[in-house]
Amino acid sequence: MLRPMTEALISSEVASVLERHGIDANPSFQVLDGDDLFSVIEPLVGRERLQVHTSALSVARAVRAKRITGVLVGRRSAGVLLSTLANEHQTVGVVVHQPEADESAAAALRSQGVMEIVANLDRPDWIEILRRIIDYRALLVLELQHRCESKRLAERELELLGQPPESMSDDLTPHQPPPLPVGPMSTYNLEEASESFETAYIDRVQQLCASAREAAEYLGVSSATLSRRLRKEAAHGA
Amino acid sequence: MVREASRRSFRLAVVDRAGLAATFESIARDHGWSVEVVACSSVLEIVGDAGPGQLGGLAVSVAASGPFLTDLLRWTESSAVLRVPTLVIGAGREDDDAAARMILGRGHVRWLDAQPSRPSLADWMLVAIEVHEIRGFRGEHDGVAQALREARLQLFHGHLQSYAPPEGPPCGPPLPTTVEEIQPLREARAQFERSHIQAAVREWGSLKDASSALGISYTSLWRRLR
Repeated sequence: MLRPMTEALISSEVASVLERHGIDANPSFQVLDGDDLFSVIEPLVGRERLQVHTSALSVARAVRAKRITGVLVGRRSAGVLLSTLANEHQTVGVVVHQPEADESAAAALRSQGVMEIVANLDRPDWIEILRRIIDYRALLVLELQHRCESKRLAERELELLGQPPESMSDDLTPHQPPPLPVGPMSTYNLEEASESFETAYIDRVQQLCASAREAAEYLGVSSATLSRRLRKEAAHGA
Repeated sequence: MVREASRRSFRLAVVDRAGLAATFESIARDHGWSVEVVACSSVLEIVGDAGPGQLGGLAVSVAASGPFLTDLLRWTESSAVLRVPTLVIGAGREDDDAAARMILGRGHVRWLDAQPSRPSLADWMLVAIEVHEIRGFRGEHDGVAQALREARLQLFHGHLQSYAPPEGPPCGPPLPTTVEEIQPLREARAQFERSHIQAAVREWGSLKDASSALGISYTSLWRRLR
């Protein structure tokens, strides 16, 4: 259930589709080099939705971690932030506060992927601007969900047609979760499908983490639980 | 447990002169599968200009294909991304060896010896139907993703102020690609289960059948959906 303020910050149609996909629709905003921005935005969105950063890299990390988010940045840090986001392959709606009117600088910022350039902080349409950057990010999240599912279906199709997916790809990830069931032969049993998903998920997290202990922390389980689970999988695989 | 009905109409072309098309029709009827069987007596009816168009599957007997089996197999892979699941049935003669060699390296083609049993024909048809349904859903996912992308670009440029995204079929959660994206296992599993249940309900059409396929009670399914 969205809180009243959230409803203003994300379109209800977008929020409802996100929720149907099980994605938390509560938005957050990342602020860099924007004391003025912060004081204007805080009363509109609430302190708990704002994360203030001191570096562009920290913003990029927060953008990775928060799915439904937008970025607000002061003019001085905009260039660094935009190139960091590009290097980190992050697509997110960015609003830049640029007090002085400079058309050529504004055009350069837009060409680097800025959604909105705000000169006057006293504008009445802040909520609309924020909603647009959040909707933008939400549509991206939904698009990726569909592209991912389509890829899993493609792999399943290759398997059925006698071509193991690994022979068609340089993806070194050994386990991919199965796609959701679509036909008469699919696995419908919830326990079986969920186990299969968990195996792929844990496997991926282990690849991303330096140690099993770190993986367990990220997964929110104890090291003992994780190692028991891995032993069980190894026994099944053997 | 096998779901009994295909949601999308499935077209199967059968090149044969000995009643194979009727056998497939009867198998589909027995299982309650929605299958349109197109009976052909010659390969030319498939590969010719007036061919049957888009097919979900193709079954061909070596006896009916004669020297044109290679052409037919090439036709089934004319689109690398949409190869037609194909079944080749031997004739029980010497030329079976040459025909069986032709299917080597063609993963989408399966071989059955002459006089195949009904269960083996049904098994192959099930795979072809599954591939057909997968392609249908892939098309839906790709279509929705494309619409979302276009709307996103319109929002970016300010040409759109708001957009009602299409609901689209359910999706499993993507795997994380960096540590920042890792969700606690419990949350990731809950998101997966939610989508899996939605997909099962969509496929089975009724909560009773879906709960049975999912291996959970009707009440549990009802509670989870609520």
